[in-house]
Amino acid sequence: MSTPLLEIRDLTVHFPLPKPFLFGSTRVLKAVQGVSLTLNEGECLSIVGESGCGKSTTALSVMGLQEPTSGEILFKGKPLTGPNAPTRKERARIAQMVFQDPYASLNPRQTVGRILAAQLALHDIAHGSEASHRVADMLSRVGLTPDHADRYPHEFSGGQRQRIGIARALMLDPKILVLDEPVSALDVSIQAQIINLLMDLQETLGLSYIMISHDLSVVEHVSDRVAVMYFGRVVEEGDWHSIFSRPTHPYTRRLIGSVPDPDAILSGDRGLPDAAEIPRNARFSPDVSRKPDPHENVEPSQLVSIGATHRVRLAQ
Amino acid sequence: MRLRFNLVLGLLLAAIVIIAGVFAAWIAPYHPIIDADLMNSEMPPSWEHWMGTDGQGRDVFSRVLYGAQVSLTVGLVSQLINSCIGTALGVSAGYFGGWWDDLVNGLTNVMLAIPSLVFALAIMAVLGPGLPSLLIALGLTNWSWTCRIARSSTLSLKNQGFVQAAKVAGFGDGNIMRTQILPNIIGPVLVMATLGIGGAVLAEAALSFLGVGIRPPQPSWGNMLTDARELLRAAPWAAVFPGLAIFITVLGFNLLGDGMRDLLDPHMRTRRA
Repeated sequence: MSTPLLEIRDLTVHFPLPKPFLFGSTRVLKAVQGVSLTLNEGECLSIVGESGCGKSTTALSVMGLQEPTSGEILFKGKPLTGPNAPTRKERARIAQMVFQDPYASLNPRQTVGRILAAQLALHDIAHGSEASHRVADMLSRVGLTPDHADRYPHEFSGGQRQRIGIARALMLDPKILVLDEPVSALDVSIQAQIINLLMDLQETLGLSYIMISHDLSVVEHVSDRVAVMYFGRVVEEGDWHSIFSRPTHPYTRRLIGSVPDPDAILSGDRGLPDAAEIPRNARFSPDVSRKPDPHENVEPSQLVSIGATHRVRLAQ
Repeated sequence: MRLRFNLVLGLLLAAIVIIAGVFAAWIAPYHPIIDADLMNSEMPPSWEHWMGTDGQGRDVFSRVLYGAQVSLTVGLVSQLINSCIGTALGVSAGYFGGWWDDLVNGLTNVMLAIPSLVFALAIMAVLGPGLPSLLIALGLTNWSWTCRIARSSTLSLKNQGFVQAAKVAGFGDGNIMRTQILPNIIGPVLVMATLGIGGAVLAEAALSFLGVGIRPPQPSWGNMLTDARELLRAAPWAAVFPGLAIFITVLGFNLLGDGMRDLLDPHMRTRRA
């Protein structure tokens, strides 16, 4: 098997929590615990799970915005983390990111043209009129018009801003695009447009996507492979078909069950407890009325293959 | 409209003070120090002396004009120093966090705990009276609020998408602070600075009033008040007009700061059609 484009090996990220007043030991939030994932060239890997499950932290680690506690991330076999990690500038050519909130992701004081062109000058790709030419080109590519370059971000709608965010991420011609909930802040009708744009771009530019989402209905349209995360671990991973046609882990089933269905009968559901409160070996309980029981103390198993590309974690 | 009113009135008052200071030598009908006419001391306002004369027969109007030079220099220069110190410390502390943030925070708290006027007094006592020491004393003692505002604004900005995007695009920390964070916090910093000009003018007046600021006979609004204090009954105009000048200056710069903040709001700025 050839080297995957991106390989996440046993990634662990811990955050120290503030100490309780005077006494008490430092608590640690184990946001990501031993996540291993691969991304092949030209594919879209989706990481799904609820908020606090560590999917965004995983994405930030890939981007170098979050230092992993342990584990490594390899791009074409070369480490992106640790002592031999590339500089911020070198990394920029490898992976770029589209952010969740289109309102916070554009500097309100810069024109769209400047937002897009600044990185070209930094990386010495293009200057002056050549840069504005590229900006105009990219704007039309994401469905805007070249004259939008002179405007400020507040003159655009949410969907247009997200297009600008995508344009910014593509200016350096990266190999990987990390999409952190790219459409969750948008109206449903706009969501479809952005999803279609992302799929078009993937095809024409040969990009590889890592898409972070809590919404399976979005993931369903773009993903080649899906990884389901639950409290810092991958509980099920597989190609699109196996996850959606044969969801095996009870948590995956519940996620798929949570996709809005007009015919569904509403039932009372309760939220999950704080991520920091979850004991290390917590098991997912298919019975939503039950909290994870720390006394069961079952060691989480490894992911077990149950199909050609389909793996599931048994104990957790 | 409130925005225009603030800005226009503030600009007008500040402009009056600035013109008065810059063109004092041309506008002033008398020399502020030499033209002392003891025969005409403590004269009420008249056509000859618009603001009357003080205890030594000097023209109050001319002295107020020359006093504006001192007040403006102190106000603008000391606030420039304060804003630079406060912004540099605040932005870097908020951006980098860690031990540097703790250090800057501690220093800010110490500065806030010491009354700045007392601190400035102490510095003046060491450096001696005069304009340069005034600038240093007031420039080093009033940056803590600017620092706090710069730090908290930076904290709220640094995890926003556009700052993260700049990191991801490969920009260095210095560049990010300069191009992404600074333009977005310049509004509150500018407001603090403009409000601080008023405060510095007051502080200069207070220090000069206490006798450690501008040395007489060079006129400053503060030491004019000191001189006028003894003849408050006989010649109230000698105290009223410098006081009024202080009032107008502080009010003008405060309104200007307010109006500027509204103007700098990016949502008010649209592309020229």
